[in-house]
Amino acid sequence: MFHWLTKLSYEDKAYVLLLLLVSGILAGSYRNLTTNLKPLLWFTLLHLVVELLADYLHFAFTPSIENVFLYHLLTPLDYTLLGLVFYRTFARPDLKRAVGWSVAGYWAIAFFFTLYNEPLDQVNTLAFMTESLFVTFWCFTFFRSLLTKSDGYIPEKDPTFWIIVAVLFYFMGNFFIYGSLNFFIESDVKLASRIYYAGYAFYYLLYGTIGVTCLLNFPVRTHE
Amino acid sequence: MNDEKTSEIIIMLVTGSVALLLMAVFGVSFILYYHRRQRENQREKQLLTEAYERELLRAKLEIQNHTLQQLGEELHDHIGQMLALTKLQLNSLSARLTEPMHQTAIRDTLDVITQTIRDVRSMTKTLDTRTVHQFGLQDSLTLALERIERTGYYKANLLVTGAPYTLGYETEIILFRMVQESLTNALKHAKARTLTVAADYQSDAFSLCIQDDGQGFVPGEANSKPLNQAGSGLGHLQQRARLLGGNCRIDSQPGAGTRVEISLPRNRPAVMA
Repeated sequence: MFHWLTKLSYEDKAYVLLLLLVSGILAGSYRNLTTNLKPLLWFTLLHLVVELLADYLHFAFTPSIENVFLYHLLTPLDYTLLGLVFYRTFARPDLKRAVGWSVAGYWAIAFFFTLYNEPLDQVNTLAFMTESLFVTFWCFTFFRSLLTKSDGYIPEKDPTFWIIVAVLFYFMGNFFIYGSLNFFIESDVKLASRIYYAGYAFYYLLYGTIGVTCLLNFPVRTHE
Repeated sequence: MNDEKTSEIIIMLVTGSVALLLMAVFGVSFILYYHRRQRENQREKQLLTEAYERELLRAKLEIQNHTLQQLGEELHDHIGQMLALTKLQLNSLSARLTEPMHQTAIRDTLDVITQTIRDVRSMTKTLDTRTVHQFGLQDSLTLALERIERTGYYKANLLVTGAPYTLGYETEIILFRMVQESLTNALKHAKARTLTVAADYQSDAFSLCIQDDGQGFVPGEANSKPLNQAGSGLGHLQQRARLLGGNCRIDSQPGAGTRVEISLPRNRPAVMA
């Protein structure tokens, strides 16, 4: 039944295991997580489910079933959950409102791209790059909002700070990888494959950081 | 594992290491920048608070000087005149009443009035900031101490060491008011008999010491009194000393009198600028 799992690459196996581990950590420490970080459990579970489903469709059937359409659904859901993290992290009502509107806007953009630029049988590069830009913007907005704090806040002791740093690097890294992937697939498939696998490093970094920060006993720091 | 796979893993590891390094550098840089900025904000806030306090104190001093000057003028113009008029009337009465009993009574009353007129004039001078401006700190202190001594209840001394120099009109006014406040405290609360003011003019610093032999107090207790019982005099003395760029130390203990020492560096920025 699970024979297809053995067909996964080392990188994918490590990624799935990491997602499982981090989901477990997040579920175990869910009660202790600050409200703004709770959506990360659903974010990790979403990636785990989509990853397993994509691998199942790819490896369990002969010929394999096209799984790219899953990512067309994953990206808007992914952004919604991250939007929720930012929504709960920001204290200013105008920023909360802007995050809310950006989620609605992103759904519209992603739908537009799927409809007119990248149909369901193609990789949704544009949608992912747009998501990366949005997330990067919110990450920098978060860092900027920290600079105006005057209540004795200590960033190094705040799990949110480290997680947002990891989110920033994850999206910045993958922005360039996804952005250049289509070009390299056409010009040099071997290089494209290497670049694709290099992108796993950012997955490991993000989930590694989430797992470690949730395991460490940081003093409680609310962002509400 | 074939070579292709190995090289993919190596690329991934290198990318991961570089990304981790960059992430760490970014995180640490941000933290350092954040703390530096916090320190700067703190310093700015402190400077603003200090400037605000200085401004507030300056306004208070101006109001105090203005009020005291008005009071002095009022004493001089109104009470002084009334006393002079009373003296004239008594003199004219003395010419009409020839009986020795009346003459003695009138002479005694005239003595009291003459003394009162002298005291009012002297008080007017100590209240008037122009006295400090015109005659300097040392003479103003002499005048204030003489006035206290004339009551006959207290012994008051002024000791001056070093070669006197001017500290600037505004500084001298503030110092003079500080001495007045310390002397008033000694007379009002300390039940002192001897009051000593010592001015020490050094080439690089100036210090002023006001000492009494009264009953003293426990400084901590004075600070912890409830608001309705606590005076603000000691705090004001220290605030004013800070305004002058110096400091004020208050030493006291029950039964051993009180010593207020104000020290100022000689080269200070302008006070009321």
